[in-house]
Amino acid sequence: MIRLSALLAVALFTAALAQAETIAIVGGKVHTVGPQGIIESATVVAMDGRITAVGANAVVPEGATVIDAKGKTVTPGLFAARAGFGLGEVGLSADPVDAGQSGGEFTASFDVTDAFNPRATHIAVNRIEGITRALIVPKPLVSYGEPSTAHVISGLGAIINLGDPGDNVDKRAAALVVNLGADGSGFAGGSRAAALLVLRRALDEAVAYRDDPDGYERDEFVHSARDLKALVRVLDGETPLLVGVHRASDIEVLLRIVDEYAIEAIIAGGAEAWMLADELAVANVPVLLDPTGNLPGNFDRLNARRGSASILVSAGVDVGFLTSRDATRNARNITQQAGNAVADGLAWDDALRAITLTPAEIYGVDDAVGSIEVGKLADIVVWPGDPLELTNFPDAVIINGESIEMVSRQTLLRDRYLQSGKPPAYRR
Amino acid sequence: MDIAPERAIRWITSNPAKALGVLDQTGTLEAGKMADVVLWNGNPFSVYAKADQVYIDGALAWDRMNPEVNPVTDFSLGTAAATGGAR
Repeated sequence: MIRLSALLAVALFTAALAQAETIAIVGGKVHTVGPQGIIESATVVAMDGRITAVGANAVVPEGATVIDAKGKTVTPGLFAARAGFGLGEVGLSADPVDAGQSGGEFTASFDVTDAFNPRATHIAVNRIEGITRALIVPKPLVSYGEPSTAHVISGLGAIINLGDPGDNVDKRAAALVVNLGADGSGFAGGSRAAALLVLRRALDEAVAYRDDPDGYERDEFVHSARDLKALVRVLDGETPLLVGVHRASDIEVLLRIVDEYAIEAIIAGGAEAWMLADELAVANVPVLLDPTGNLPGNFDRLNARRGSASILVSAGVDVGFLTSRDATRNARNITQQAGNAVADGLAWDDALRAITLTPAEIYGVDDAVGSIEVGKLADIVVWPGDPLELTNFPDAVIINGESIEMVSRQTLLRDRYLQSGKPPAYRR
Repeated sequence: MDIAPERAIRWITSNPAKALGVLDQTGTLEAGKMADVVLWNGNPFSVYAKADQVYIDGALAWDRMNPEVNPVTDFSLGTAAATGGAR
């Protein structure tokens, strides 16, 4: 039997070979976030999409496009660990937002990747601020004032790059989104215990399906074969669960499920994760959090606090950052979050790692991206100074070895309205 | 865009006070106004900036180095986040 899941798992990561551009970034302070550490003045060479040389004495190839980075800071491209890129333009308009779906038909197999639009306006908005890769995720579709038909299991997310439209999907089925806690409770009929039961039932059915796929009878399973195939990938360790959860007690139950089914999970949210830092380190469960989210917005987050990232990293937990509100236009704010985490005690190098290499490791794509290393895809950002400072914006962004145009709809509008004279529609 | 810090700081100090009609009482550091003062540990526009001390009407309302001074809401009283304990 040919396993559909094996086909879905293929990580593409094809550098744009049609473009034979060679770029040399010369003289910058390079934070490789890799084995070479920080190099005070180095040259980084990218050829045919990949990094071919990094070092103080790296030779600039003949005919290379040279980017002078003297006095500047060079980092790997930033990785948005949970984003909604390409899944809609404006949330409250008639235009469809493709991140969520309702109804009973699909849960674990719902894959947002096929709705991904690499031409969405906000992609340029984010990439000119240094975001080069992201996990795009489905999210629960909530209709206010109506009973929720969203699911505890939202569906599959993918790793994408923010390069020019073309081969933008790097890895499908990179995570399966699950909602526990207060959110999951709402989708499961009013109790967080019911949300956990939905997850357990899905995993139990997947175990039965994996053990005897030919014995599958639609009437005996809640999930379709399509959903179960996606869940079998979770059991096989190919797709981690990305679990929206805040409350410590819910995280404790999640850790038991992770142990029981021997699956991989990533916590998204994790306001109270700091209370279980040691347990999370032992269980090897990473946490994606918003370090500025220190208010008890609901009873799941009573113990939200500043300094969570520092506590978790000190305990040995892999930490990444996410924007808890707008993860589409403002996923770019991960630099602010990283900087605020530094203000609250996290080491600067760990903060840069949290928005570059750590997410790449969490989603199993660190062989291709996340650091400046020879052989990896050339995702590189040149900054005028400290990349975490709010007033610094990239001078140059390279994705898959190609310099992107530093223009977005926002810069076009800015430039139009800084002019005067003719009516706006006549200005460029 | 280059916006000078001394201009941007007005957006979150004197301009709102002016809009609300209380610029004669607050919004700038001037003799005779209410003593609403923040002591920063560095450039307030830095992502790393912290307010070391905050005075409202001349009274110390926040002291980063001296947590006993700082308020705890009824809601947060006794929580792990407020007491610093993890259990």
